[in-house]
Amino acid sequence: MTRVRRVRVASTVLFCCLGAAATRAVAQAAPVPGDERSVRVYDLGKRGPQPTGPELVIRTPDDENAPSPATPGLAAMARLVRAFVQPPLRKDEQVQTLGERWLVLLGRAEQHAWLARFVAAAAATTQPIVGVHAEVFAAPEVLFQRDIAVSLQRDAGKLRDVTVLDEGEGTSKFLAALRGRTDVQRIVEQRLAARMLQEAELRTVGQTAYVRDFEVQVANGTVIADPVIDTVVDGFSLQAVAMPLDSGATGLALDLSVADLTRPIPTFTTNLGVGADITIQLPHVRRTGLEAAMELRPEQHAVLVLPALAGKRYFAIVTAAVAAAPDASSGRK
Amino acid sequence: MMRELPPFLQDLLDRGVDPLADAAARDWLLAHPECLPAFATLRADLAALGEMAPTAAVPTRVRRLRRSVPLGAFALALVALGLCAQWRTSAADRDAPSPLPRPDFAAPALVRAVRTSTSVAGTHGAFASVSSVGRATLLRREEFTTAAAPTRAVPWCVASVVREEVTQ
Repeated sequence: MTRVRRVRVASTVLFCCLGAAATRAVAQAAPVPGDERSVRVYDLGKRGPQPTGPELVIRTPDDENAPSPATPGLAAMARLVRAFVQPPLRKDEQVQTLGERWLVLLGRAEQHAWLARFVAAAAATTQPIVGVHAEVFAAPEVLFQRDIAVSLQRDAGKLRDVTVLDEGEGTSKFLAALRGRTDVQRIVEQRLAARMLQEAELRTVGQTAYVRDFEVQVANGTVIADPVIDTVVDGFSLQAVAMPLDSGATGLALDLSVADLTRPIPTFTTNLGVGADITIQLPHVRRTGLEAAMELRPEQHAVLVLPALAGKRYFAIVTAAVAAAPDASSGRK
Repeated sequence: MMRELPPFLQDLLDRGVDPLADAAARDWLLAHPECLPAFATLRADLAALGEMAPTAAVPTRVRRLRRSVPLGAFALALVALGLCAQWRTSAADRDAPSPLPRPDFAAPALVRAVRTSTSVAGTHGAFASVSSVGRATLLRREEFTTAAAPTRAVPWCVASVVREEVTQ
């Protein structure tokens, strides 16, 4: 076999392999014979304005090169789709976020049709405005277990992370008693408003600068140590995305997080070998979060209980109701 | 026994005021139950003296009744103090923390998905700020900065605290 012929054979084999790979790639986006599922990517567009503030996410210097997590609003939209897509997702069907504005659905044709309508509704400017009312409480863990958790346990079972309460005399008494407790701190009470399928956000945060490290430079026999300043963010954050459901209720995706910075910030003093000692600060931050998707009627209350944090329990009571009729003349919020 | 009653209680009796109608006297009697018999006897005697007529004209049956007056008054005082103590106990129960009333539960199936997370940072001493999405229509911002002069222990230390409150 001549050298030219060998090259032709190798080229043929290579093209065959590439062709097979291309065929497989196409097959992923179109229904495979015998499999009713297919993959499609949906563009939700720009989710709200440009980022404006810090997020209650713990990142170390090692994380700086790590990929960013999904945009909070996009993650909430994906959670809504997972919770309410019709027909419901089976175990071999998935909804995932991609980048900062895309959703990927591996599902059946009916689900693709549902998601196409969902995406179109998210882009519409005529969605009604939904009001989300949130009260956030904090109580010592012992008190919470003794006086609150026992009341929220349905059928004397384990306390659920999210409990939906119906309207009624019992709920009214529960809420009145809770709000009247002087030993339960109400840290936030706020009403958010946003259009359906757009994110509403409440944030009460504190930013504390601290000396993270020192950069040492030696120039002309002189040692210069420049402090590296970083920022610790703690506080409370709540994001909500709502969608109308065929049942008349509101589908609600909620993200709650609480971060607590230990004060005063512990310090560590060391010596660089020359000059005076240097002191860096070692902040300790505990963060707890809860993500949920639920169906909520206007008269119902959702009680969301975050995991205990340093002997303290945070919990929120959330309601959602359509606050205003669609306004076609207004632009997207 | 009579000397154990405090002067203010005797002043009330002297002025013709029923100590059981006085809150301070009731409190004192509750705190000193050993004085109750003496108090009841004195109270009954004073009440009897106020109504006393010539002994010779009083029939035997009436005299017996009058002898039973201290016991009756004592029993009444006990009942009154008992009721008072019970009222105070129930009031204290109302003020004490207790489990909240059970609310009306909706169907658990309304909650479609929940995920909780807890994390702790501090080993690396870092907490970097990253961007987020928000639509603030009202921003209240309070900021102050303190700078410590370089010392041997803390060569450089700048602390800046910012509190932001964002509402929709």
